[in-house]
Amino acid sequence: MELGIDVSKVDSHAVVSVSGEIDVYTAPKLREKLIELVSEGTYDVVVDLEKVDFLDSTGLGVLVGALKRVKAHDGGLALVCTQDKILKIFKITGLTKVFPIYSSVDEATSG
Amino acid sequence: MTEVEIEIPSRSVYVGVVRLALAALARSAGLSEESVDDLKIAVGEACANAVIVNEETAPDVPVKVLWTHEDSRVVVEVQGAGHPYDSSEVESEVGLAARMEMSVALLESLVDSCEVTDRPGGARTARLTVNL
Repeated sequence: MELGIDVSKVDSHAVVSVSGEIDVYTAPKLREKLIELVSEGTYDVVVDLEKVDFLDSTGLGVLVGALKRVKAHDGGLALVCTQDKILKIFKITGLTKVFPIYSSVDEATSG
Repeated sequence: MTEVEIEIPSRSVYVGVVRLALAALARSAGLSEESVDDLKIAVGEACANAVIVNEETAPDVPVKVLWTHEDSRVVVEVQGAGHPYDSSEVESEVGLAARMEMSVALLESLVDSCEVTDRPGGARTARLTVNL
């Protein structure tokens, strides 16, 4: 039930690679990291979900909140995800229409 | 019929424990890996919702999860002190209502039926059913 968060820079983007389970317990840690990035002036964010095993509605709420924050600064938040079980959660909640979702970090940072 | 009851303190750290236990029970009942994943998400949502409401209204009341495996179906009941997935009781905090809306969408999509019943004392039970 650990959540790993690793941040790297690719061009003007911050790439946030998340691993483990994003749920009601761990999501606040991701929220804090994303708020920190925006407060430091990073408004183009890519969240890499390829190593995420589980995502719940609290995690979705954190991503939507971060999207609103970067959009307020004319930025963007893209996701990297190819796992069917995670994509299914975005589809059910209608968020595939809200987030640009890419199959690799390279695609997301050049898109 | 097999019954398993799990009781957790109303704190978010324990929701993952319920998910793991329920995934193991679902596998033992012969559910496919996809159905195990779906049930894990649905039970996690119902449990998280119960914990969030309990934390606000009744932090000392535990959340109870009752697993029942019958011939043709699996039923998971999540009992909390408040409404397990009703945004009206937690709308005071910004963002929670939107979270609850997504949670309900997940619950309604991932199990065959999801219903809420009242229990004495204002508590409620979310009853999730998966047909085998």
